[in-house]
Amino acid sequence: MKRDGADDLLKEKVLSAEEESIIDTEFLWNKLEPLIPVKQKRTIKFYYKGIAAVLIIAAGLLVIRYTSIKEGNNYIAKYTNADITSKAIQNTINELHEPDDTTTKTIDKNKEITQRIAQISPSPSLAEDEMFTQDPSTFGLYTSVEDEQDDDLDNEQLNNN
Amino acid sequence: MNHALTIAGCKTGNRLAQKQLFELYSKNMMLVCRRYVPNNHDAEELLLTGFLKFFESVGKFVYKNDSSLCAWLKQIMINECLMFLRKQNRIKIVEENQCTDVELDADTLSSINAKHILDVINNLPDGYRIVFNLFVIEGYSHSEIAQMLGISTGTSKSQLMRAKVSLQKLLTDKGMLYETRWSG
Repeated sequence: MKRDGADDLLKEKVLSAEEESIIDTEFLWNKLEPLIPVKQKRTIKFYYKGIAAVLIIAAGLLVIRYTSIKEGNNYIAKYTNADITSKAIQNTINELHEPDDTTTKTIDKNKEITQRIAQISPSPSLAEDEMFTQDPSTFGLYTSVEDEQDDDLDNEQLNNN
Repeated sequence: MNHALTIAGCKTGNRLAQKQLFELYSKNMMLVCRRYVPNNHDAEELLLTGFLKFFESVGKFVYKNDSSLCAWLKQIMINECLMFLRKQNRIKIVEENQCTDVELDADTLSSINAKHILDVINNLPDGYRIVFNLFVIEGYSHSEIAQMLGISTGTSKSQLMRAKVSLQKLLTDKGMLYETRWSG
């Protein structure tokens, strides 16, 4: 089925009969205009946003990079210091374990004192305890020779009187 | 008016260029829309949707001459109208491959008032009117119509034949002399 003369005539008649449509172009444009996307502005906005995003990401990466380097350095420094500190502690401990003259002297002095005390009183701790349990008349047992001598003189004086 | 410049302006989103183009083609495109959708309000909505799609996709359009621009706009409007009719389930075309060629007598046709012919065409059922408009007025081939409507070429031909028979019947009913010569 092909186009024939009648079809062309029909087309001509239809097109001539079609009245020029009475439309309010301004009114329709006002309805259409807000719906049309603002391509140019959007594109510029998009580019600006894209550039801004790239810059922010780049800055972020730089910050992360330098922070990690700094943190890494701090980490190394921290553990190096810790090593140094632990060595220092170890040295101190070793030094403390080594015999010190002063300490030895003190110990010797203490030993000497203890021995002297032992010579003076075989059991000083017992003597102190007995202070509260012994009969007062037996106190003389623990008085010194000088005190005993004083006591003898007092007795003689009493006898003479 | 330099249409190439107007199109270039539309491509950059220039409002003035877009308005110029709308003012230039809106009336013709309104006629196209009304050919498929006789309701004035619906036709106006389709016109706006069609222009909106044109402005959205104008970047892809390569301007050759005025007729290429008009053809592209017309294609957009027709597609919009067909989509609208399809959504409303108004395109009811029964597939059939048998058709008889109908030839209308040009001499008789020329004697009939154009306004009457248009009225008769507007009173055709949607399916017949669409195929008739696409073939006779827009000049599409049956294979193109078949592709646009999703039907076979034979169905497109049979729809056109039925449209012409209905046209003849309506013209006869209105008391107009109309000779038909059946063939095939």
